[in-house]
Amino acid sequence: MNTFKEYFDVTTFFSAIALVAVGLTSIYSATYDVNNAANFWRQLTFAGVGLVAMLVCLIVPLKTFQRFAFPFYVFMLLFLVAVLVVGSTIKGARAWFAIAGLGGQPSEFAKVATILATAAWFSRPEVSIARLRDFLIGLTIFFVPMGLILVQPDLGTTIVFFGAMLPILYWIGASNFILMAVLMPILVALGALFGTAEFLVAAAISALVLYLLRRNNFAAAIAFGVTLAIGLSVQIVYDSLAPYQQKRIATFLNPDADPLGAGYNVLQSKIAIGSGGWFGKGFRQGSQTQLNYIPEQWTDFIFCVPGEEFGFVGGMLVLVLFAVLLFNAIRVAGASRNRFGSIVAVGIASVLAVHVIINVGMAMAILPVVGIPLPLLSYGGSALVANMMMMGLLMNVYAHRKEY
Amino acid sequence: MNEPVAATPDPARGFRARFLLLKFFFALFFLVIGGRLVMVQVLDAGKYRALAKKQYEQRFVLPALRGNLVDRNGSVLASNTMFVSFAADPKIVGDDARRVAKAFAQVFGKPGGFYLEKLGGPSGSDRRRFVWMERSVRPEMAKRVAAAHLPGIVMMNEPRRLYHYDHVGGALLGFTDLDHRGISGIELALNADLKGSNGSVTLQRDGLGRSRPSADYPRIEPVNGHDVDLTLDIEYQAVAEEELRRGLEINGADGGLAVLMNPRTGEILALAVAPGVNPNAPGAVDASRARIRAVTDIFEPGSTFKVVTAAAAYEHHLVQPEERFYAERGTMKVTIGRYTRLIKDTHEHDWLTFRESMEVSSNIVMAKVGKVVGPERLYDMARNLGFGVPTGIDIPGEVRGTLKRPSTWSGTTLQTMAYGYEVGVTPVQMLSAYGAVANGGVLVRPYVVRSVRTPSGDVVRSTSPTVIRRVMSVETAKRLTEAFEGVVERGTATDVRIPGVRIAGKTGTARKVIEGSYASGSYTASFVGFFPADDPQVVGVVMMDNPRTRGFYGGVTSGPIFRAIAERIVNSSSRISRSVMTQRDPHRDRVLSVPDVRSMQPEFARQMLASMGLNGRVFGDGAVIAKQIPEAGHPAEPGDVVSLVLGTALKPAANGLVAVPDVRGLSVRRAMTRLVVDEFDVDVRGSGIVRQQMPAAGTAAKAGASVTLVCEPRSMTTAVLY
Repeated sequence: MNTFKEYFDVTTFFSAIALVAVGLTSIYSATYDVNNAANFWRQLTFAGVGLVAMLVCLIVPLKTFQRFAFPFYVFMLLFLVAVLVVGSTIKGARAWFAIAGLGGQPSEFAKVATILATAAWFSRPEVSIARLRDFLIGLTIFFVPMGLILVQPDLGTTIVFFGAMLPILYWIGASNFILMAVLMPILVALGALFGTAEFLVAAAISALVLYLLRRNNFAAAIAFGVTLAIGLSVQIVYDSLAPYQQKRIATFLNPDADPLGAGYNVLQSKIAIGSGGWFGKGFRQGSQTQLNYIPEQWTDFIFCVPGEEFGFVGGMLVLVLFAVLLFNAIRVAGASRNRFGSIVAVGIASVLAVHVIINVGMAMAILPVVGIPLPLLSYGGSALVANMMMMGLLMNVYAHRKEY
Repeated sequence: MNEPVAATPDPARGFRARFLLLKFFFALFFLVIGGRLVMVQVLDAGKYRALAKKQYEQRFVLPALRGNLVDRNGSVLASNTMFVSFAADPKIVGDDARRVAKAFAQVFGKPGGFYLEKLGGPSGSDRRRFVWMERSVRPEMAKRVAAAHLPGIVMMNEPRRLYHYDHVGGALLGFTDLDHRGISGIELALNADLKGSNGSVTLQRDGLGRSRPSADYPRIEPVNGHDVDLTLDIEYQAVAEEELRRGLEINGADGGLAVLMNPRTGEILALAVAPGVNPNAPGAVDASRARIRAVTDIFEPGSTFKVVTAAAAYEHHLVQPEERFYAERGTMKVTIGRYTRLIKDTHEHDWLTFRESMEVSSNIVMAKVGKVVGPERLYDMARNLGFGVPTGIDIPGEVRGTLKRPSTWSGTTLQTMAYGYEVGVTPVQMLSAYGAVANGGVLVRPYVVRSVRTPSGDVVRSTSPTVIRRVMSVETAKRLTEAFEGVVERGTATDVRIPGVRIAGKTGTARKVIEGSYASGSYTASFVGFFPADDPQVVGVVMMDNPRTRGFYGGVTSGPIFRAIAERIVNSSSRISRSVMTQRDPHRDRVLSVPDVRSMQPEFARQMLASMGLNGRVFGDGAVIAKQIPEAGHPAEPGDVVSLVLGTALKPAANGLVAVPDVRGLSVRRAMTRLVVDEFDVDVRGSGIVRQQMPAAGTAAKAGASVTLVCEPRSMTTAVLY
């Protein structure tokens, strides 16, 4: 038994399965009336496919992944380019492949490919993150798929890439200055979205941070210049965004302005979760869920279902399961003597964390509505299979954590 | 992979530190999210629960039907009729706004733009979820809208109070406000019985705006209000109002009233107030008109109050009818202490018997008799006849009037009160006092509500005639009646005389008190009387405010109105006319033979019956009369009712079989009336409205066969959603 636990990551496996189960339950509850549970059966099928993919990712030797990381990455990039050309447009974004009745979102798998490629790159013995050239190549590995996804346009997934990139680079050993040089433009851009005063405060903060962390003045000056330039170009970028995205940003800045319009989803989601109370209204008893107050709830707002029908207990259960999964992943990363495996584990943890924080945060109106699913729970085949693949990889890293 | 050092990222900055920092940040984010979850689900749960409830629950009231007001003969005076209101949900109407507006415009004849604007323009961009499109339209109009099957349109049935006789009885019946609460008259007095209790249904609305019945809340059926049977006879009421109005016009009076009562029972048969009220259009009425002035207003009665003096004098055997009094040639000066009063008669008389003094209405003689009677006996008689205390009539707003106690009288009060001054009475008090005389000396309580019934006919409570007290001996009452008959035959009220009808009564003319002093040239003219004098059926009071054109005496102003009312009642009422007829023509038997009106059109048949003095009552549906009860040739008396049953054609009952009529949908009472006409035996199950019948309509059945009726309480659909 000990030997089994030594090689089989029980924590990851069971928390992942539990989350998938909660997701299936929620999808069943949310869509039963709408389409007679067809979504449930489809998702259950994908969960089966995902389970197989998970086991494959667990069994295939970690070194094989390392070896084929770049070919897989390039293969996924080709898909991302292809989807822009021949993909179907759903809700304003060309992100969907439909081949012979089977569909998929390559961006979901691109996350896995990017994590693997980054890990493969920085685990090369000759590569050091401290060297600018190597660091820039590492950044490029992120930015190419990010750019392709941004032009779909899929802002949510782009943000996930960016959000996951920071802890990965940090884990690999990027200096604080470098991290801040990447992060500060975002802070200043956000400030610029709110208004002039906020923009100036953010710029001042970034100047101070970059100055304190500087290794040399030249690099600091360049970083600050880039930060300012990005902050100032926010208006131009904002104007070039799709109207629905502009609306979402405006809604985030002032969610109560239009309770029946753009802020509707968030308000309804808050009402659903809030009205659940301590123990919820019971399975298939949630008035907001059953009466379809939250449009397309089974995708991005799936968190409302356990929140409303099982209350605080249900919502907390989901969060605790994710926390267990995440901290276990970081523990695996720390325990892995294999640099590739360690980076992969952190990468998976980062992607997962960013998804959970943004998704749950938006369901409770502390973050803007960006269309990203809740991993393992939300309806969507590609995401479920990709996420279960990551779980398999994580378990693989665990199994080989003692190998150099 | 073979370098152990590489596995530990950047040892210079410390693997351990990075590990902890990463964990710390992830933990921080989770704490923020977890904290937010606590805030939303635990701290603010109540707020969100309320928001959710408000959003998905919609409560619709199912209005109870207000009870009917019914007269003593079963004529419905006030009932409800369904009107329909249309509302729209602009969000659901959406892109169909143009089509919806066009459909409404076609039905209601208003421009399409009018409705389009309500819907918030052609795109339906208005975010409101509820706008009225049309309110209170007739159901037949509503059907045309419903037929168009428009999206987002809600149809609501709204009951509206309908007063079948418009202004007739309007002041007494009163009216209701928009929410069907009684605010005057009987509607107010019996609001608790009439209103019933509203039901409700709770609907759940989903995110797409569709509604469905909520499983959590049971539908609460409305309980309809109770029906109220009144003592009123709508025919008497109509006669009284018509004659009053005509009389007021002739006399150029400001206003007036006429009240009729059955002196034996106290049942108010008619209560007319002019100017009147049409409760179907109460908006135009000011509050003073809605007052039932027969009980709310006090007037100084004048000579009609002499009934008190005369009754006291007779009752205590102080005066004989033929006792003579000196009438002082029309003027008498009374000085008692510091008080001096000049008492005048309208004519100069020398000597008058007491009876004659009543007939000519001599104030001087009455003042003298008053002195003989004395304060205590006069006061007691006034009190016993019901002056100075409420009659207890079941009409809101009754006042007690003013009757001073002898201890507070001034020196001349005794004399002036003897002929009707220094007292304040309501018309109904005067009516019931004369009623006591007509009723052989027994005062009864006047009332207008006979009974309160559930819609299915079960009596909730009923009023029976209430004897208040014997006020005077039968002998006194008889003497008074004789005196009052003399007033009509020979005295001040000869204008009231109807050949063949013995009418007893008294005129009264009093100067109006305006702002505390007697106004010259402004009078209240009244006549109180009853008939037939030997068997009083109706006691009535007619009063007129400020008659101008034909003099101001009660005998020439109110008297003729009383006569006109009495004449028409005598001619239409079988009971009174019979007793009148026997007086008029005691040797001729006026028994009629019912004519054969079968196969006639109902209107023509009724006219024919009416020309013979018979009343035709029509039942059922159809073009011609299929059956009549009693049958042709049956003896009848004028005023008798002939029931006429409509049908499509006359079916000769060759084999003794009769087709069972369709009584489904009728009230039990109506159904039974209908079936009994065809001589069926009726077996009722349940109460309310007939839902099923056995045998079915059209089945041939033997006369006398039993028909079973399965009934259900009245119910109604109030919200039709589509």
